[in-house]
Amino acid sequence: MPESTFAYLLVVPVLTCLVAVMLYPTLYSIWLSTQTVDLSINYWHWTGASNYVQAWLDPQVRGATVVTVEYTVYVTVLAIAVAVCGALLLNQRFKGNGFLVATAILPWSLSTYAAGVLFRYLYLPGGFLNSFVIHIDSSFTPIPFISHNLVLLSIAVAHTWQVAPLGMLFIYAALQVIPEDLYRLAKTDGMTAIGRFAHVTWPYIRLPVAIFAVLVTGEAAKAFDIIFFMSGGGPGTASLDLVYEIYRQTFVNYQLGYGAAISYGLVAIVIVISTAYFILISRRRRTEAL
Amino acid sequence: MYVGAGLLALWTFVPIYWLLAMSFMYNSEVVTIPADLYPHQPTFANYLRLFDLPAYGLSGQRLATIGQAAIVRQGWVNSLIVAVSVTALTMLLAVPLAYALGRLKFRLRSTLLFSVVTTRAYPPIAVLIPFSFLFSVVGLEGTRLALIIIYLTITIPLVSWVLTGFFAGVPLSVEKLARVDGLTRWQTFYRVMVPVAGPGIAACAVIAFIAAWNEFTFSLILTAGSSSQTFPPTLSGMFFQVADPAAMAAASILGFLPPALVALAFQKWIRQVNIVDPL
Repeated sequence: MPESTFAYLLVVPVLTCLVAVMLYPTLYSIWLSTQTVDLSINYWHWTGASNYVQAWLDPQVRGATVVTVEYTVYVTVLAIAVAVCGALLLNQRFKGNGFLVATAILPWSLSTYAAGVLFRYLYLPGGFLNSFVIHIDSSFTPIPFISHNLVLLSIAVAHTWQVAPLGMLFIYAALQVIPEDLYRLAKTDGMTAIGRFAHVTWPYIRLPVAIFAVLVTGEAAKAFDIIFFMSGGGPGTASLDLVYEIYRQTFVNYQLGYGAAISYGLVAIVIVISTAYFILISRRRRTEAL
Repeated sequence: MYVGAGLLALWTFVPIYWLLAMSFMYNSEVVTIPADLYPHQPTFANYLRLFDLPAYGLSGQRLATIGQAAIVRQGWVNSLIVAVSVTALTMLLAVPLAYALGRLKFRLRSTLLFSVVTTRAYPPIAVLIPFSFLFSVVGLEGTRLALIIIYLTITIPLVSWVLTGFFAGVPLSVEKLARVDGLTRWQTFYRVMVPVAGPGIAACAVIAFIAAWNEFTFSLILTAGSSSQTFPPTLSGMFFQVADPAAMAAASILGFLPPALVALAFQKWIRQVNIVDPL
């Protein structure tokens, strides 16, 4: 049997099922985004692009977009920082290293909703963090983690806690293949620690860092359950991101068409970003391979 | 270096420690400000109350039960059934897909690989309404089967992506030798390549299990309030109904235990996962 025939034999059945299940909902929601729907009187009416126009002009959607962008930047930057630092640390030799490597995966296995639950109890006025400081200094005023100014950063830290282990372990794996001689050479050449990181370490971990960045950006832009558990989008609309706005429009206000239109805005943003990353990474890889 | 190691350990364990500690404390210790930092009189009372079993407080008084025992147990069992089914089906479908994408040469290879990845761009919220209409038409509304089908659309792309890298990493000579020995393409695939990629397949099974066990959004919209509600929405429901932090902590621990144990047991294999390879 020719190789390509065998390949199609393996690929086509699975992809057909996948497409069959995915295609209908996707087309349906695109159709839905061109409808004005009022479920209370079962009113369905084709209104073309008006949902998209309305979403574009809606200050609430604009606010939610700003929240999504701000949140995504926080999580991406924090997660990459934690992942790189954690990986560099795990790559050192010290007592207890094996234990840390083995347990690093734990936060990731608990998922974002669990991170929301855990950090909710850490952040409360009488939660662990505030209680810990009050036990040391009883005059301390509890930090309001879930307040207008801090809420996004607080949730981003929780999200970072959950997502960073993945990057940490990928980067750690990449670090382990760097020949130690390279570091020795760099040292005898008189390179500083920063210079060694930039010229020896970084070329090896650049690709895993970039791919981790793609993953995290996508996850952060789609954040919902962690916000649901930690703040419900509040206080006010301080942590109301696009996905939460879609949820509110669709399942609270029953504006099905409008919710669908906003979600296609979000899908477009995520696809553009991941395609950009994808092209960037594969082009770089090709030039490196040459 | 030890400062860094200490910080990393604190970062990983403090959130988990606190929930675990809370679950062994009495509410009176938890709700004061500042709260006790560790259980002064460790107790299983919260777990007992969760399952409507008799439990006694600090001064020997009988503590009220939570009254959610049936729902918690049901959520846990549903999560288990859904996660195990999703894991088995995902592996059955994604392993051949990943082998073809990672190993065989054919014209649409990179296009298909990219489209598999792109399905991950969808926020679940975007396809929830169509899915719920679809399920109500075919009579699967609020069933575990509906959840299993939806979760497969999440896990298959995810797992295929990771496994493609694993298959791509197996030395070409292994496959060539098998072919020279006269094995057919099918035999080469399931007798040689699947065992060689074993650790990767195991890691992917764990990833699928964890993803299915923890999924929240689809389950919240499609099964909340029904008899097939999985654990995460059960927990969110309790959050809004039960103002009892210590009991909530105990309930959360029950839900977090399976993925955490599975991840720890298989962490060696998960660590070998390399998402970079397929590109």
